[in-house]
Amino acid sequence: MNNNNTNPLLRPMIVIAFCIFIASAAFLIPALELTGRASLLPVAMLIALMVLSVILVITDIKKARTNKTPYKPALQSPGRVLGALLSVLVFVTNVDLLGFYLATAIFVPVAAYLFGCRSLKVLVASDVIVVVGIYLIFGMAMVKDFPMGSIW
Amino acid sequence: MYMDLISALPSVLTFDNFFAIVIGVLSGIAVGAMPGLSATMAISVLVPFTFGLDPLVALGLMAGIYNGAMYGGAIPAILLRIPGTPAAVATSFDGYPMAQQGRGGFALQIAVVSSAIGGIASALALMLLAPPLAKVTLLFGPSEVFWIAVFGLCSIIFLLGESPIKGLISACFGIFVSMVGADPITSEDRFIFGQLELLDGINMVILLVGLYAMPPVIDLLEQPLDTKEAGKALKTESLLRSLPKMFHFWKTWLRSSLIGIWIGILPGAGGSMAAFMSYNEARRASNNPNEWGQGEPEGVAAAETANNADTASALIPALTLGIPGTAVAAVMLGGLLVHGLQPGPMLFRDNPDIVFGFMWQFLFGAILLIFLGGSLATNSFSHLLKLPRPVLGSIIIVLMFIGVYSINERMFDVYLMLGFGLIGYVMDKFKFPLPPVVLGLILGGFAEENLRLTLLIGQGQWSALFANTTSLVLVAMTIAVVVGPMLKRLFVKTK
Repeated sequence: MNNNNTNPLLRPMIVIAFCIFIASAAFLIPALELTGRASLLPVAMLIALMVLSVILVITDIKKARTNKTPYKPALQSPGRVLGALLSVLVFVTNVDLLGFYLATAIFVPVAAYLFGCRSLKVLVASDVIVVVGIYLIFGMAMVKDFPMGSIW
Repeated sequence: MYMDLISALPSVLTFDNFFAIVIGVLSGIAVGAMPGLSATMAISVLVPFTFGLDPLVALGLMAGIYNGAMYGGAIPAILLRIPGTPAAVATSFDGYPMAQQGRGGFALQIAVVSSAIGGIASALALMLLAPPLAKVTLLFGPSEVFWIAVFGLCSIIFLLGESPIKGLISACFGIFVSMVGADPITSEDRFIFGQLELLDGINMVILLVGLYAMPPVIDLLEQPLDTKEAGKALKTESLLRSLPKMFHFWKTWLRSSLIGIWIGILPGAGGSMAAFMSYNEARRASNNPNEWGQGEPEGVAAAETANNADTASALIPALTLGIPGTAVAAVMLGGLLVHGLQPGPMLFRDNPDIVFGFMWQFLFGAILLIFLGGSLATNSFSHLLKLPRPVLGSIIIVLMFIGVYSINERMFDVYLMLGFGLIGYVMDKFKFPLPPVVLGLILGGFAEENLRLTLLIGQGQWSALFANTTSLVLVAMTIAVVVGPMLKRLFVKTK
């Protein structure tokens, strides 16, 4: 993400401030429907968030005008970040489908491989240690039940 | 006043407690030794696993992790010039040059002894200062409690981070999250949108794991790390032989301990500020300041003493007032809440065994650091730096899942944690401070309940909030915390 966009509306901080404003405004509707003092603090917080997001936009535009030094991007490799977030989401949804142990057994080596670990020995060893370790510690010793998965 | 402290000692002197502290210190050193992982993250991932444990055992684990991680951060700071924790940055100034001169082992020994001394001083400060402060705060009514919450939030917003606007946004977000669920007085549903899982509010642990564990995990997967130099055997002699070579640091240990304790008590400051300030002061007092930065052992001692001296002292405002001094203290408050222990003056009255036992655990954790962080352990922990980061990242994701799922055994919480994780990652990248969110969640409900109680007692009159001297003093302190940094900035600009 580059904060040096010539179009001020595309600067990341302004996009974030805009999201905060919209989300706060959306939550303000049910907050105003609350009765009596139950709405006092929620409404105050949401209005404060809206005002603060506007101030954030103004200060960011001011900063961009005065600051001549090149902006360091917030993300060094957006592709990897997106990949990491997606892999977490895929793992969690797979737990729902395949069950916790199978999803974990697949996720640990696949995610490690995708993000740069190429040693087969390390991948297999870590997978076995993690799955067996979890089963022994949480499954056997702590008697924890994990999701079984919907397709079994 | 201190009788409770002494009578709590036997409850700590059990095998379970000591085992928990040992495990905590060792895992803290391991976590601190891995760049990108912090004590805050380790404790937030650990909190859900402590549900089934005795509260004192769980707190012993946390105290051990906190102490261990503060020292562990020094290992990569000295060996690779990559601070394992933000508080270890100042350690690398002289630690890394020492390692390059073949004195890495000695630098790590200085770090472990100094960390232990700082930790012991901090635990003693907690034991001495917290009980009288708690006694005073027992006299507070709802209006004073409300102003304490406001003061705590303002101090962490305005003293922490470069932008008060971002701090305020973080705090408002945290307070808003605390409002989700049934209203504390009327039980009216707020922002649950038909999800019965939200009726009891958002569990603190879900927010903690999402906010504090997700950003470092994504960073682990995002950036590869060159650790070629890690894992080399360190040339060290036994700690007993090295110790006499450190005795002349006593002035630095004393000065840095006092700085660390003071910074820890101040809400919003933290280990890194303590380490930098202590390093600068020690350098100023040194006879040979020009040699600093080129491998001066006293530099390592100053930084490491101060960043450990800030650990237990950060819990003084946290335990007595419910206002954490640092992010780790905020997470620890979450850990207390998980075990049904509400931080604040009542904690000292209702659960003296636990709160005073916790203080002893901090002291024992700091002492154990010397034995557990010796040459053999340090050599072993330096090998941790060779662990592939993608493997580590994926294992932490699985642990996060287990921790959050185990709270109520439902997937809803896991998806909620992912949502908070995404928000936490964006906040982290765009430098929105995270501690105000946690503090907002802890103090938001607390502040709302006491505000409404004050208004009920005062028959709806807002003047009830300013009806007594203590409240007015707290209002004045809040104004000072808000206006002070602004005036300072204005003064610097005009200068």
